[in-house]
Amino acid sequence: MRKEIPLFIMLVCGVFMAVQFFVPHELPALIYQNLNKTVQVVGAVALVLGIVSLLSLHFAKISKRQPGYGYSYILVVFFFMMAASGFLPAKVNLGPFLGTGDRVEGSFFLNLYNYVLTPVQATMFALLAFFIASAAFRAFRARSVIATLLLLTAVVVMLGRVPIGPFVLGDWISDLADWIMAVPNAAAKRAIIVGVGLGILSLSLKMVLGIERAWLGGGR
Amino acid sequence: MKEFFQKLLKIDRRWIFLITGIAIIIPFFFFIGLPIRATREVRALYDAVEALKPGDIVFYAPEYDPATIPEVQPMAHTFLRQVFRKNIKVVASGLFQLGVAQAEQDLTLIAREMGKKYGEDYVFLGYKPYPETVILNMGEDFRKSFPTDYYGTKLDELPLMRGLKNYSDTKMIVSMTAVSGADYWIRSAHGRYNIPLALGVTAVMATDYYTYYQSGQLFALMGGLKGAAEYEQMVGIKGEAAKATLRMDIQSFAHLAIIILVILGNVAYFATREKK
Amino acid sequence: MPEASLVQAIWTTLAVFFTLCIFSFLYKDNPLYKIAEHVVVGVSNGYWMILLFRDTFKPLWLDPTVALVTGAGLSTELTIFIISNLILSVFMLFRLVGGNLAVLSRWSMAVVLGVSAGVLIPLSVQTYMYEQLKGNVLVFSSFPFPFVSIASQTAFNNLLIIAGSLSGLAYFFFSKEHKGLFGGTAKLGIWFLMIGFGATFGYTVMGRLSLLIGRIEFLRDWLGMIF
Repeated sequence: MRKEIPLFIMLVCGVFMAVQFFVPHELPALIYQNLNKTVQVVGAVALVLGIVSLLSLHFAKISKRQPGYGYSYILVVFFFMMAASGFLPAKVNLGPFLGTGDRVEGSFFLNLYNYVLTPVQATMFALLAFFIASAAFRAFRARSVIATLLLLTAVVVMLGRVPIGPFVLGDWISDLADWIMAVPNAAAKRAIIVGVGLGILSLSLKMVLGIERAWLGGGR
Repeated sequence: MKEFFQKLLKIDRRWIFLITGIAIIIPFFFFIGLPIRATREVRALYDAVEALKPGDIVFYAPEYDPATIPEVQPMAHTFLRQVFRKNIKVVASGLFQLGVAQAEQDLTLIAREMGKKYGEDYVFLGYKPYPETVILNMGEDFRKSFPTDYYGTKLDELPLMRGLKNYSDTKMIVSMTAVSGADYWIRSAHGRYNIPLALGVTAVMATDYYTYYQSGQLFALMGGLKGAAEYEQMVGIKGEAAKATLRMDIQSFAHLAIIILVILGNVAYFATREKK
Repeated sequence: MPEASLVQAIWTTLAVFFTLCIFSFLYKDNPLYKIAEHVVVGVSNGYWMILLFRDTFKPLWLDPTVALVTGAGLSTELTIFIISNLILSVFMLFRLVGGNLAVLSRWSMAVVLGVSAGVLIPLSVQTYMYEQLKGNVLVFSSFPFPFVSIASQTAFNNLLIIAGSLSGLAYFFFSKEHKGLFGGTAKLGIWFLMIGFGATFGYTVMGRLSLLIGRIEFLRDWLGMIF
């Protein structure tokens, strides 16, 4: 029963949600809305479990003095600073530098978001530009006919989609880039998307019907 | 010559990083203002918003995080300026966790600039996890997933939300997104409720969504910095506010640098390749 | 206000410090990069914790529960919702406890996954198959002239889209050997796919460079603020 009951719950919920798509009646719509809300609430608890798991990992690292535990201290301190700042009421003033409580303009919460989270996250993704330039130089080779086709398409799109391409070469490069996006690219992506749709359908059916059981985890 | 190309192929990648950095920094010192040509898919959004009447309501879904601000924020700002200029009301949600605070700040910034009042001209619903279920629920009733707005006010206490039940009471959904939320809007909002949907996405995502534009699932599509710059030009954003337009010149030179690197890499490869 | 602009200058300088810490990774991995990385993981998880509690748990469950407990009249629908969500949330938390009780968390997972998977069954057919293939049929239904044109809806372009999407699908069908006519179709599919990937690479370069341009702009603006 340790697996049968969850599988039965999965089957009932899955079949209901699939069938409800076609049923305009009020009662199924009400159940459907509340099931969606349930996913949000219960799912939020699951997400909190993930955060707790992360913190446990780092607390363990600190307590066992494992290599790099100093970084774990930093992580934990900043976590609690951010979490605490969001829970404090707006009238609490932490000083001119830190800001107020809550998540209003001028709050410590928003200062951490705007001046710590935002620049670090943005810069991490900006690093990719350098790596893509390096990859373009080292790995992008016209080794075969289809690789050359890929390369030429990339060059046409890169030139056609920025102002300098049409300015130097003429409008035809921009027209060609537009055509590539609207016709062969759309066709290729359609093939991929239909395949993705088939994959999503088959995985969803397998999960609802209990064929796919990896989500149950290990053990009995 | 062959030794030169062999050395070139073995070059430390940090030199390539340096060349890339220089290629981006140099154009900052001069602005040419190269003309930007509008595409059909971006013009479709501009025309659709221009066709709306004052008092119409649009649903706006900003879902971009700090990492994608340079590409998506200009689109978002331009869209808000266009709708507020036409006195169109906005109901917004922010269903991407890392972008909620950014979405709220951007909405407040442009609303203030355009003299709009919260609760009457625009409402920000905020965030809930599992965006697909939220999108589905909003198609039935906003209040199911959002009993209160982002600031904790009950929806019925906001003048704009009185009498507004779900997407059918809005004219369109416009999502500026940098995440897989784009798929959720297409499949759940448009797929289930058949609401006209437009997307503004990052360049990395843009190629995947042309097929939806071609099939009519999207009525408009803006892709990356180019899409943002085209939209800015159509709406008439000028000067410092036209961030995407200003960045396009730099983008042009950066692209040239990448193309030169690709060509150089291939020339070096073919020059050093042993003939079979 | 001088004090406000000084505060902003200090916060912005802190932001620049973290930005340069991340950029230092381009030279090599180093403690400054690791510090910035751990700071952002801590801050983002703290931020998410606030969102989950304030934007989800409190308005959807906690506030109605307080109303129920304090005797405010709630509908049957909301009462059932509150009690069922309480049970499922507690079951989910049993995962932390471990042992025999942890098995009950599977019930909560079953609800979450069952709802998500069930919703996808009709939606994936509708969105990824029906609407996409309808897009192919639609293009067949209109044959405007000119027959060939580089950047507009024409018969030639429409036929190419049909040919490209069907041949691309043929390439992904691995249950049949790619030989003869079918093999030729699959080969045509590869050509279309390569064009699609080339376009994706071009746009990816554009996207990544835009992000770097944004960061350089930020550093330039900081220099302008300081000097």
